Amino acid sequence: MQLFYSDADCAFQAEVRAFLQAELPQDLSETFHSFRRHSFEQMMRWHGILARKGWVAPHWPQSHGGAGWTLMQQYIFDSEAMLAGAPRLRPFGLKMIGPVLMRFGNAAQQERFLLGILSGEEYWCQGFSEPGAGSDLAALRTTAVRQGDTFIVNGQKTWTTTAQHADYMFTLVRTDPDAGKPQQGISMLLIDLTLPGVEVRPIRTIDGDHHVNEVFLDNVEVPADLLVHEENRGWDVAKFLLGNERVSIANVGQSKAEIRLLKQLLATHDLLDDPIMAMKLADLEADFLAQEVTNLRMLSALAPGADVGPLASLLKLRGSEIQQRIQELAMEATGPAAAVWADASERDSDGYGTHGWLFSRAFTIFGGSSEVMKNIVAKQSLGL
Amino acid sequence: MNFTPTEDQRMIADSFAGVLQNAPSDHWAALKALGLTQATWPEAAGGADMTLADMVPALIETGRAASAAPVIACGILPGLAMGRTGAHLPDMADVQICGVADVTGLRGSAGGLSGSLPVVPGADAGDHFLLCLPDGYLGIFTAEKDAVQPCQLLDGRGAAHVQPAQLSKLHAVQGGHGMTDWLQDTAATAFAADALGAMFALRDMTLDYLKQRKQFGKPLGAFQALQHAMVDIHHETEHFHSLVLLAAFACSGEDDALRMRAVSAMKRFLGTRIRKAAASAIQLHGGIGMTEEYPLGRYVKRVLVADMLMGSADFHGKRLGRLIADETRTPPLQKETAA
Repeated sequence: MQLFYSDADCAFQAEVRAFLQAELPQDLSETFHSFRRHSFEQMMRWHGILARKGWVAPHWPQSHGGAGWTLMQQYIFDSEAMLAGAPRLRPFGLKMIGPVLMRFGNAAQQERFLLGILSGEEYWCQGFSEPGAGSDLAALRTTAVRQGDTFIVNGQKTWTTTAQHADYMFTLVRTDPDAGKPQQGISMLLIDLTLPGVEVRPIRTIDGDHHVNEVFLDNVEVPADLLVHEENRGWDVAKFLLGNERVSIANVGQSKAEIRLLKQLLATHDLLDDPIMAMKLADLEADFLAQEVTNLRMLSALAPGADVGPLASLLKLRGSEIQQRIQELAMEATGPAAAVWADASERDSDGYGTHGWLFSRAFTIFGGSSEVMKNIVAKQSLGL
Repeated sequence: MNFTPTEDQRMIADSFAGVLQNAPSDHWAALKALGLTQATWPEAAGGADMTLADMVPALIETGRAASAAPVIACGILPGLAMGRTGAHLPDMADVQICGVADVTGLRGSAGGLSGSLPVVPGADAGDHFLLCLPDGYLGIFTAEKDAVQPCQLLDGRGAAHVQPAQLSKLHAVQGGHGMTDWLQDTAATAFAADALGAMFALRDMTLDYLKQRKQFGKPLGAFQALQHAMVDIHHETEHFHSLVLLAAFACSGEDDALRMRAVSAMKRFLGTRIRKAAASAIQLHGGIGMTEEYPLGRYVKRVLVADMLMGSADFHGKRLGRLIADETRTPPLQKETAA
């Protein structure tokens, strides 16, 4: 999308490319370009490199140790890093709880946690969904009862991505079971996962990998000063956070890189000139270009830190569908080899499409299912 | 990058909107009287040298108004073609020129023409024809009496079947390599920008209808299946808007590969997702959407015209597939500099 870059944007792009050329470890780039997933260790190694450069939190203000980039610069960096084969940093600390603490947290909480998020020394996970509260998040039942200076937390969280690596979990809990509306009695607590009564159990997903977990909370004693914002006002915090999550899920930069990878896979299988595959690829390209320019239109219209609300829903809807179709075409292109099961450790380009197809089913479910997104747009953008 | 229209673009779009809303019947005469039809013409020929990207907001207005004036064929395209060749053809301001874009049926060269041009938008209104010839020449022709058989497009705009053999050349200039493709892409994008305006009108009408029409004791818009269909129309329109902007920028620039990629993506999207969205608007209206009297149909037909002209969705899907294949086969070093 050079077409839309200013001279300053082009200069920034050149700076980013030079940095990636010099600093992105070769094994990280190779992992991506050989159709494998980055390990947690690789991802955190890249986190550390970016942190030392001061680029790990592009969207944070410089006063909090961020890069203070414009939205356009963030987009350029994201695209370039993905195309180079860099791991995608997990959003839980940098894009979710970090901005939440800057907006809703008190000075002590900011002091205590922001540095650890930046350096990567403390890793976070998101304790929102429960067995009985998925799309209907406000139905959550994990309770927190205040006793003096602590909250006693009981309940169960699920679909908790990378909880197995996490030090802390930002958690929605019910603090007032008698509130008028389900949204009103909810609070957000920061829970240390090493506390007694916390148990993390893996859930294996249909692609055979361990992405998500159940987290059981049994009489966990959480210090009351780890309450974010006001008691019973956690829903405001959650809505702010989910808007950010949806922009992050739209993943324009990652789709761009994966489409380039898909084209190489099609070339390997000699399918670039296959009329039917070429048409499917053309449709994907048309949808992706539309998504990419729509993303730029929104970035250029938004002031940093603005509420992205319904715009984020639009991007998430099409973005998640595009990511699924990339995997689908990869699976179709692979042929019978795509029918062979491969564990994560031994997976190569043959297993890329099928396992990606299976895992990418989650993209239209998490962070607000496509159907919930459409409900939101109908209500907020269209007034229905 | 700022995607909101510049002050100049806004001003000309507002002028178009003013005329289209207020002129009683003959939009073309009213637009021409204000010089608006010549916005893209070179300054030397009495125009304002505007690019296609500059004209997108104005074209959105012609589509929104479902105007029958041949703004694209007789105003915008001839001006852009003249500007591109850098030539100042004699007496341009005094004749009604019709830009011919879909020249796939055209044979011959500046010396003599043959073949057939079955649907030439705006050709019913012109007395001079601007043709982009297969050898890259851009020529001005006059027509003998029965060279032009007028017809009407689906949406009420005029067109004609033209016999190239019966045209007489007045003047020709060399348009340069790729002129035919460029003009066809530019025309496709101009019609698409107009269709975008039609989609805006169609979206607004459908949304209003969902809020007002009651069945089973509540507004249609209270039903989730209809809400989701409406959200899809809204989103497809926004994505189409993005592709029209991209194509218009690309047609106004120098990068041929980017232009073809952008225009083909836009046309493919128009012929698949946007056509479906227009059909869905009829479905959401129910029976009233089927009537000729109700204005929804005018917008749907406008979308179909933009879809059918200047290369079908299949043509552009194939072209986009070829462009991707070629780009993927290009060694990475060259790709970096071209990206």
